[in-house]
Amino acid sequence: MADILIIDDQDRYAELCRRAMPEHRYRGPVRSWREAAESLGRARGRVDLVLLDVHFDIPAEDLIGWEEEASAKVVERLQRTQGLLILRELRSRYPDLPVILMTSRDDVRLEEADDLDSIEFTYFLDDDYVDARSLAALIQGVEDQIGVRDAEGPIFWGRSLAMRRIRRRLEILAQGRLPVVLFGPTGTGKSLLARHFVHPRSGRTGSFVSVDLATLPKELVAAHLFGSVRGAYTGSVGDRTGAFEAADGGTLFLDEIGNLSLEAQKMLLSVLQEGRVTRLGDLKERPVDVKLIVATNEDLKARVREGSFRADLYMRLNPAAAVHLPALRDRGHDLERLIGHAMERTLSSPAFLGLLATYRSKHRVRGEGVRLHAGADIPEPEDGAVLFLFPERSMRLLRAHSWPGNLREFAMTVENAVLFALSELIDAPRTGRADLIQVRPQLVRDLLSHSPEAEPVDELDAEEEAPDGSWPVRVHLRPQDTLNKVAQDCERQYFTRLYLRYQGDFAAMAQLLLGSEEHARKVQLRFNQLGLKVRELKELLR
Amino acid sequence: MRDHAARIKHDLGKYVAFQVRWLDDDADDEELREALTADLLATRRGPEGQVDVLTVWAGFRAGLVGEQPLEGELCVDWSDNEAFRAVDAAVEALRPAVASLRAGDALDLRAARGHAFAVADACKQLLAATRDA
Repeated sequence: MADILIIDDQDRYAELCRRAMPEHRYRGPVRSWREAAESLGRARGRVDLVLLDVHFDIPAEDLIGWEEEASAKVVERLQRTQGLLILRELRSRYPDLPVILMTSRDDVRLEEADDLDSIEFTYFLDDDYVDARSLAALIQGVEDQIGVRDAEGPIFWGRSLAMRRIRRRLEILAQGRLPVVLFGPTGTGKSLLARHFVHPRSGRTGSFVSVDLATLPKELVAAHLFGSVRGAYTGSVGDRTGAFEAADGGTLFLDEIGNLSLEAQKMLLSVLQEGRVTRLGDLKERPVDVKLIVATNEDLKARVREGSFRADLYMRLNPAAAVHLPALRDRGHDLERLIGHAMERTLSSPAFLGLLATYRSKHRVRGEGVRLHAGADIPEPEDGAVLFLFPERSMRLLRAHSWPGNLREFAMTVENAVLFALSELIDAPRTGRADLIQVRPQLVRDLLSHSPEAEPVDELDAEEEAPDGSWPVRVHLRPQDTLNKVAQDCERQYFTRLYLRYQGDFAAMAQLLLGSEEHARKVQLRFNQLGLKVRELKELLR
Repeated sequence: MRDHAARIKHDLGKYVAFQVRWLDDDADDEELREALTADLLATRRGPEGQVDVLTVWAGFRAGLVGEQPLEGELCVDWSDNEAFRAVDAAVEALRPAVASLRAGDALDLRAARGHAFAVADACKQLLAATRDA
């Protein structure tokens, strides 16, 4: 199922799509760029695909590119090409959002928009006389393309622009000779990426060798990395091959590189510069050809400044091309899909399969398969599949959590949630739909309460947008308050929410509030009038 | 001229068979009638209301037979052009269907659908002809 936004001045496509392809969720039709921007803002990254018409017979003032002195001919031209102008706006804000332009490539050329050919994620109909079958096939093709890339392990890439860029960068870095530096908090998948993404794409036939520098005793690090000969140090009873030699022709992954002593850093630098390693206590140099990947959660640049990390080694690690993996809390838009990804492992676990079989047998749910759904609505039963439902209130709690353990913590929470929800219901009498297993908010709250940075979640603070795009505000009223003060309290909360939603992009807020990005300055002034400090709001975005 | 033909392809060719194109070949009569009614009697929908296929074509046709100048151009007369005549004939073939749908009379729905597709195809050919010209 895809979440599809229809941008069209008429209802025709929307009506036909809903009738012919009811398996998808549709938003719109929205009839102008302004409405589309609002709708995309409310959707908060949940839109999978846009169906965009080209000709918009709408009032002149709603057209992109319209100016007051525009002649009738210019207005008509704008109407005939409005979809292309909307596409450009979409591309500047959502560069990787797939868009199906409801026209053929030939006709776009006719409209003098040749440059659209080079834009990724833009799809054209073979023929703008479209029918249900060809459009359904195109949508399926786009879905498959996105789905394949999402599912390509080892971590869940999701659909955020940041993650797509990381993926592309890693694909390129994997093939080069330079080291790869992975920055990111714990649990973001650094070692998984090194082992299962970079190494297989490096074209190297040697082994993947991983060394966690945080767990090695400091005095053994050098011998472990570079090898040693008998008698090189107390207790060295024989020759030892180091990690560099073991990874010759392959990849060496050094996790927690910040733990390396200055002495070991010097030796590492020497190996990187010379392409040769000398075992401790030995004089013989041995050539090594290793693809080096290092990972850390530390700010190496700061460590260089304070003198605990060598500047020459830092520069040798190719910091300009470093990859920064985002914390899970910064990937909010991907959360719903991440649940599905996290559940995949659970679904094949013997514990889960055993519980599921018991549940099916006890409650006479015949059939097979498992489905997952997150959100306020409840899908209809489908061929005996058991439906795991994360209702909206549970999702709010998941979204509000800070996830200090990132993907690792998230995967465990989802696995526990699914297993506990299922086991709770095995012996419970079921009066409603037996195929439906709800992951209750209370269960989610209990699971999250064990997180190291868990704070009591205030339901109201955790509250996010309702399906209609609204959100609650909280106002404390005192008898002496003026209406103006009450209104400003609400406005402050509204603006704060908008600031967070648009990541501090005043132009985007101006587009929403005043219909044009050009009024960004006005919005900023209003922030000042309301006493909202942008510097403090920026802190919230971190 | 090309812009004019592009508008014909979009406003007439695309919408004259917009809904019927989405129906399966074995769609029932009720569905087919409903789709044809929308396509032929409301080929254009806009602030001026619903405009049928004959009126939409009449508006474009005048610019192709020298009755009125195309915007920014001198008058053109394509009345002898094969592609133009194909559109004209295909639209004319729809006239009885438009009348029957308007009156609620019986109608060979499948034949009418074929005529609607013929108009759409002829519009494409007209645009291609202007490109070649």
